[in-house]
Amino acid sequence: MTNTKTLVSTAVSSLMLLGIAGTTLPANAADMDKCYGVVKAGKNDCQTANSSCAGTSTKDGQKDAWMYVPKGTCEKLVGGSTKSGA
Amino acid sequence: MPGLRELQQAFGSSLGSDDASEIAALVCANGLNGNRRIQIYRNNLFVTLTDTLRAVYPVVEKLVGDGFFRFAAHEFIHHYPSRHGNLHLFGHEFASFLSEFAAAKGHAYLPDVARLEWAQHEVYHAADHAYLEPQSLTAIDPDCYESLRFTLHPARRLLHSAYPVVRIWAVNQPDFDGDQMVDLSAPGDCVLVLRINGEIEFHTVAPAEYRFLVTIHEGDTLGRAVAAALDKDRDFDLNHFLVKHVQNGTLVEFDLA
Amino acid sequence: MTPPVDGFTVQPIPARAGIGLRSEHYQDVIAARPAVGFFEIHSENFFGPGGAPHRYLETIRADYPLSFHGVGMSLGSVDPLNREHCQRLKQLVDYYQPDLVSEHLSWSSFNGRYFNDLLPLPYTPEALHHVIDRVRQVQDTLQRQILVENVSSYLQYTHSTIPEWEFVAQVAEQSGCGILLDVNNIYVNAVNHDFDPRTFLGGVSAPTVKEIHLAGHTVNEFEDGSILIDTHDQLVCDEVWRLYRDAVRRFGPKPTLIEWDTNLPELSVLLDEANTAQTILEAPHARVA
Repeated sequence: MTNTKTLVSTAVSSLMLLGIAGTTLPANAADMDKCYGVVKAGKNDCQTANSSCAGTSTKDGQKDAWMYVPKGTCEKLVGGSTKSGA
Repeated sequence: MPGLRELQQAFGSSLGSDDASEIAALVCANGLNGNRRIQIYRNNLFVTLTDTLRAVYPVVEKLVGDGFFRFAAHEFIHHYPSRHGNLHLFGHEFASFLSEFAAAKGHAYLPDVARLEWAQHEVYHAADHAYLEPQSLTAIDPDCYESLRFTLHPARRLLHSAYPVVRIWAVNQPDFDGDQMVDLSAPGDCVLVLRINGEIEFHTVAPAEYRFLVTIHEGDTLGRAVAAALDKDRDFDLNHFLVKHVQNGTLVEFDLA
Repeated sequence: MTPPVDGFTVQPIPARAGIGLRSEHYQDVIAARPAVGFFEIHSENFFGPGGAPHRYLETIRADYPLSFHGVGMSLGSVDPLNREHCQRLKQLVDYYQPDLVSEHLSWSSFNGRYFNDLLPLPYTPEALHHVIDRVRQVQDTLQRQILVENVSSYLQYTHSTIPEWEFVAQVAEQSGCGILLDVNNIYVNAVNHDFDPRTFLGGVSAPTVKEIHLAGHTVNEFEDGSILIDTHDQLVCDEVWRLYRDAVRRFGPKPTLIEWDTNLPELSVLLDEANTAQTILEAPHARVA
C-alpha cells in the first residue's frame, strides 16, 4: 500500500513551488470535461403578472393548459424510463 | 369590521385555496365581484412563483414540457410555500419534491437534473473568496501535512448522479444543435460546480477525485481525504489533484486538525 | 472594477430621469454608459453575498447614483418585521451607499408564508398606525430615511375609512419617511376604484415626494367589467404622461424612474422613455412649481 504520508508530503511541497494560484489552469485535457452554465439572474420584481388567462378562471393558474404527463425533450432520453429511484 | 390580522389571515388563506368567500365578503363589489378580484392576486402568486422556478430550472422545464412543468410547479407551490421576501431563496426543495411526485415517476433522473440546476443557481450568488496563497503553507511543519484541513470556496458544489446529468443538461441548452439523444444507461456523473470570474462551469470529475473533494468538504483532514481517494483508485495522483484544485480556486483556506 | 478603497460615498440623485436596471441590460449599460440621471435596482436581487451581480453593480455604481427599491420587506404585514431581511438590506445599503432606499406600502406575508406580491392594506386607523410603526423600525435599523411607494390595487375593502392619498400622506408625515409617488399606480387605482387621480396628487405635499415612478399597465376586459393591471410590460400611456406633467407642475422636478419588468425590450426603448420624462422635467412650468 502506498504511504499516504509520503504522498501528502510530496504534494504539499510541490504546491508550495507554485506561484500565485489562479493564474494558470492545469492543461490536462482529461480534467477539462466541462460545461458552462448560463444563469438568468434577477427575479425579484414588482409588477403584477397577467397571463392570458389571468382572472378568467375561478380557480388558480391555468389548469386547462396543464399536461399530466411529461412531454418535452425527455422523450429523447432512452434506456432509463423503467428505472425507478435514483 | 375585521382587524388587520384577521384580514391578512383571510386574504392569505384565499390565495392558497380555491375558496375566496371569507375575503370576498370584505371587498367592495363595484363592477367585478370579490372572487374575480382575488383571482387576480391568486394568479399573480402562481405565475410569479412558477416563473421563479422556470428561471432556476430551465432544463427540467425543457425535459418535461411547459404544460407538465406548470402542473408540477402548482403542486410544488402548494406543498412548499415561499418563506422569504427574496425570491432567489425559493425553490430549493424542487428536487426532493420531484423525487416524490407520482406524475414524474419513470423519470428518475429529473431530481438529479434539478439538483444540478439548483447548485448552479446557488453558486451564481455565493460569496466571493480569494485564492489560496501557496506560500502560506511554509508556516506548516511538514510532519503535520496529513492533518491539514482545507476549506472549499463558497462558490463550489459537489454532486453525483447515477445518470449522465451533465450530458442531459448540455443537450438541453438553447444553443445546442447536436444529437439530443442521451443513453440513460451510460455511467453516472460526479460533478464539481465552479464559478470562475462570475461564470458557472460544470466539471465532471473521476470518482476518486470526487471522493477526495467530498471528504475535504466534510471537514476531514488531507490524510483522510487521500486515503478515501486511494480507496476508489489505487493510482490516485494526489500531487496533480491538489495542485489542480488550488489553482482553480476550489481549495481556498487551510488550518490544522 | 474594484470599489474605492474607502468605500462608496453617497452620490445624490438629481431631479432627472433614470431607469430600472435589469440583469439583461448590465452589459449594455456598462458598454454604452447612457446619459441617465440614475439607476434603480431591486434590492433583493443583490441579497446574494457575491458573484457577478455585485461586480456589475459595483461597476455601474462607480459612474451613476443609485436607488435601492425593495419588493420583499412586507412592511404592512402583522408578522414581526423580518430582521434577517432588514439586516441584509442594511449591509447592502452601507456598502453601496445609495442615495434613495424605498419599499412598498403593502403587505406580502402572513404567518411566515410569503406571497411575493404587493397586497393591498385596508385604509384604517389600525393599519395606518401599524405601518407608521413598521416604517420607523426599518428606518431605525437602516439609520436613514426610506421612501414608501403607493401600490396598484385590484380591490377595495368595505371597511376602509381613509382615502388612499391621505393614508400615504399620513404615513410620511408621522414616520418621517418620504414618498415614492408611482404615477402609474395612481392612474391604475383611479380607474379601478373610480376617483379623480388629481385629487390624489392634491392630497400629497411637495416636500415629502422624493421620487416618481412611471410604468406601463394593461387593460383586462371581462364580461362583467374591466380592470387595469400594473404589468410593467409596455410603454407609459398618454394619460399617465399627462398625469405626470401635472405631478411635475405640482411637486416640481423630482427624480423619475422608468420601470419595466416583463417582456423587457432593448435598452434603447427604456432610454427613449426616460428622454420623454426628461423633456417634461425640463419644461419651463416644471421649474416654477
